[in-house]
Amino acid sequence: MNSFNKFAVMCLPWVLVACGTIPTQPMDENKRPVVIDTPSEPVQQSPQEVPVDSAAKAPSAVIYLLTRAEQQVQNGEPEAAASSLERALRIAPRFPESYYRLGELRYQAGAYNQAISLAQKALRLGAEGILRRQAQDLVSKASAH
Amino acid sequence: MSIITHNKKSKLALWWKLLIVASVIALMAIIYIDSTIRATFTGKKWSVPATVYARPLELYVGAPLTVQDFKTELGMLGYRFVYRIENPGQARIIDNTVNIYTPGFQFSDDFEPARQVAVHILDGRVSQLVSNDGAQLLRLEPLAIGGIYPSHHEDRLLVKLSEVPESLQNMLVAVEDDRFYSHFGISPRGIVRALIANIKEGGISQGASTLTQQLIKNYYLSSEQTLTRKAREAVMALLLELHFSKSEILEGYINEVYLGQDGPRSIHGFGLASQYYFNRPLSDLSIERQALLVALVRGASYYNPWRNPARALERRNLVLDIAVREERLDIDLAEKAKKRPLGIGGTSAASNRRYPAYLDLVRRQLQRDYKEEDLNSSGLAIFTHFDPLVQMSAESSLAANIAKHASSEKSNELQGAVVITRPNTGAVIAVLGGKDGRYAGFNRALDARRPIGSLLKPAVYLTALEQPERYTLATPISDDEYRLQLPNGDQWAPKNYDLEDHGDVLLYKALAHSYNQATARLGNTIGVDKVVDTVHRLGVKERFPALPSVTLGAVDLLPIEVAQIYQTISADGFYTPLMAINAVVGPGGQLLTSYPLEVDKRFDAASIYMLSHAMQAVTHEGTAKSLEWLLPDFAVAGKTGTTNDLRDSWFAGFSGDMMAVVWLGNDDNTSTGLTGSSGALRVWADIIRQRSRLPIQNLPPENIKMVWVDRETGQGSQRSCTNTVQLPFLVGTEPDQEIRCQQGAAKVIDWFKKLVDKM
Repeated sequence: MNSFNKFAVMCLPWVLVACGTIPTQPMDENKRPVVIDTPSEPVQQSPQEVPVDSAAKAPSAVIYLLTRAEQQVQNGEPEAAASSLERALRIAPRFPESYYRLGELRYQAGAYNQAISLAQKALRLGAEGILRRQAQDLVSKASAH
Repeated sequence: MSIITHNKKSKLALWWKLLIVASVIALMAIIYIDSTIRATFTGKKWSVPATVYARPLELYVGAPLTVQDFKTELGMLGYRFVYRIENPGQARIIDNTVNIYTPGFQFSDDFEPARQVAVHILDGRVSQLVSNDGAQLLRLEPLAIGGIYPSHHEDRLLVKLSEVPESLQNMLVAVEDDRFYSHFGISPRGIVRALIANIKEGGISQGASTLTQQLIKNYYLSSEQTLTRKAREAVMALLLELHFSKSEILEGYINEVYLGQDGPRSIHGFGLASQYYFNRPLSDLSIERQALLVALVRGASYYNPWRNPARALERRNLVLDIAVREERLDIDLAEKAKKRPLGIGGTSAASNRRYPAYLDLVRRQLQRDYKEEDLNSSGLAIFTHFDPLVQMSAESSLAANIAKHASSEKSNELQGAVVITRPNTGAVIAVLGGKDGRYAGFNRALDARRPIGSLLKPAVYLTALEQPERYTLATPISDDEYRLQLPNGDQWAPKNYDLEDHGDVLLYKALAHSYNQATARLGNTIGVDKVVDTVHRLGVKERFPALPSVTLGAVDLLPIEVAQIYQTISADGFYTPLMAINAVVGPGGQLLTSYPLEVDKRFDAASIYMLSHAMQAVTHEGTAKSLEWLLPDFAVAGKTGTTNDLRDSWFAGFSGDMMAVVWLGNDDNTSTGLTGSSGALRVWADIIRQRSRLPIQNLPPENIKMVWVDRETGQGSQRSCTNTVQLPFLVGTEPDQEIRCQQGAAKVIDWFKKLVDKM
């Protein structure tokens, strides 16, 4: 088998895995504003003229880690799930969903203050749509404790 | 007769008694030694210090990575660059494609298997990642950056016997103790031989040490040559053999033996020696290199291959010959090896990987949570956030800038400190404690308490902005001369750096230009106690006395404390304790301690957003304006700091993915001749330019509205007007009236009006 064939075969599982990725939030990739590559505008310029960065886009690696954290939670491994989420945070520190998920875990562990702060962080980083409502709910239900 | 018999009997009994007493004493001594041996050897055997690891390099599509950085990282990890990848630890780079075969690694959370991976890099990012197991996200093994030792300066990299090449074990045994596997701790033949030699020379001069005895000597005893010491050593060696297997003893020896000196650091064990002399792992050493290490056992200094290469080469070849003679090495292999050069790396390459300032921080964080004996007992694995690539850039930036000033000024004593973190996670990724990053001297980043000057000003303005009904970024504040009557009767009258008064200036501008008179007035008007409280909430643990001069930074803080303050600002007002360590894993791979992300919302989003905006103005129009060309088209926020008589030059600031604090100053607290912007700022800009990939992200909170205002008066204006600036306001606090654009004649009239007003 020449190296090109080898390469193609090596690619195959990768493509399949990529197809199998399930977004954890209903989201439209096109709608999600891209932040990472665009330098933000200088301070004097009007943000109205530039599309406002509402949330950082995450590489697919982060989505993979969030999915894995979900599975780990279902398998009753909250600590492993937290590790996955923190790894996701290190890779994309401005991706709101990772904070929210971590906040949920902290809530389940009874760490309500941390849950509130993490949900607030998700909101501050521009959580939108369902995620935004979830984060707001988390703040209020954790505050009730 | 019977009396005589009785006497004889009692004498005999006395002898018996004495004998018993003596035996009991001897037995007790042996039991005592035995317990010492068992306790210390069991402890000491694993007294390989905790190994500290850097962050692993994460690989995924989209990961920021250049081919050059990738190559550097692989080089540090000891990968061999080859044409054909066959084994783990090999890599091949062709243009923008990097092929690697990873050896696999057990992390605190997961096992990363060995993989063959092809990584394509485009425009500084991973554009494609193909792994033989289909992984779309993987980590390289982390770089071991050092060990944690209690008090002494011994350094080691723990190796297991299985990781030690058999040929090396064989050579070691052949040269140092050819009967190692058959004796029981001491070698009677050796003793006899030494005895004869010593009698001939009339003293104790020749050792007859087995490996076991040498190990004992290294552990417990001084190297003085006396008979009692020899006897004790022999007893201990016997006992050691009784309790531990040959392979355990050999492993202990291999990790214990002294093999070199690197400045204040002594190199112990073959694992570290291999890194030190050859810059590669022990398991990867060729026969001639193994032989050189064995040669060093007899005298690491005498046979130092850098200083005495001829002597080292001769000794190395002797080792090879002895190994052949003792039938522990194939003669062909030996002859081939003898023809090879020493193969040592450059001295600089070997000591390249020392990060004393960062390890210091790791050690202190550990000491909060672990007892000292835990740290030096069980070979813990400590996973940190350290980024060697960022550290390297910081080292070179600091050294280059200090060298520049040394040539122009008479300031060769100039020193520096750098702390670099990740904004949202609070991960400390690099620390420099002095201009020479490898020298483990005074760690200025953690121990140099210096006045922070204007670095404190953001806390004053943040305190003001937390009262939105009183202060906005457009509130005109007076920068006229400021005098304050102190309780002791003195008068405090701080001056601006340019010794000018600037009249009424907008609040954001007073920060951007770091006006002292305006800031002192503002801080003392809103209350110094409130400012102190803000500093406390930003992350400084101790509360300092609320003196008026606090507003101008007459407060001594450590660079790491300053980093905590700016960390909170960079993370949108969420306090996160700075962390060097991510997780601590026990010798069996079990997670002992993890340091989870902690966040605490300390400030409301709007006031931090407005502060951050003003700190961006610092870099556009203020004291750090030079960043406009030092970092073109890359939005950052920060603050310069300069203290009286130019003693300290500070810069602290952040981009979207990096926060850094830089201090420059002289240890004797003399003037550096540098301001914050002519000194520390340059270092900061160099680091950010090399390592930051994400500019500041302007994401205004919902209750923020952007409004155009007049630069002089702060009144509402329009974009089309001249001399206007757009500023963020908390909704409801924006200026309500909108002045009409003053153009042409209206402007002249206005000018006259102002003139008349002044008269």
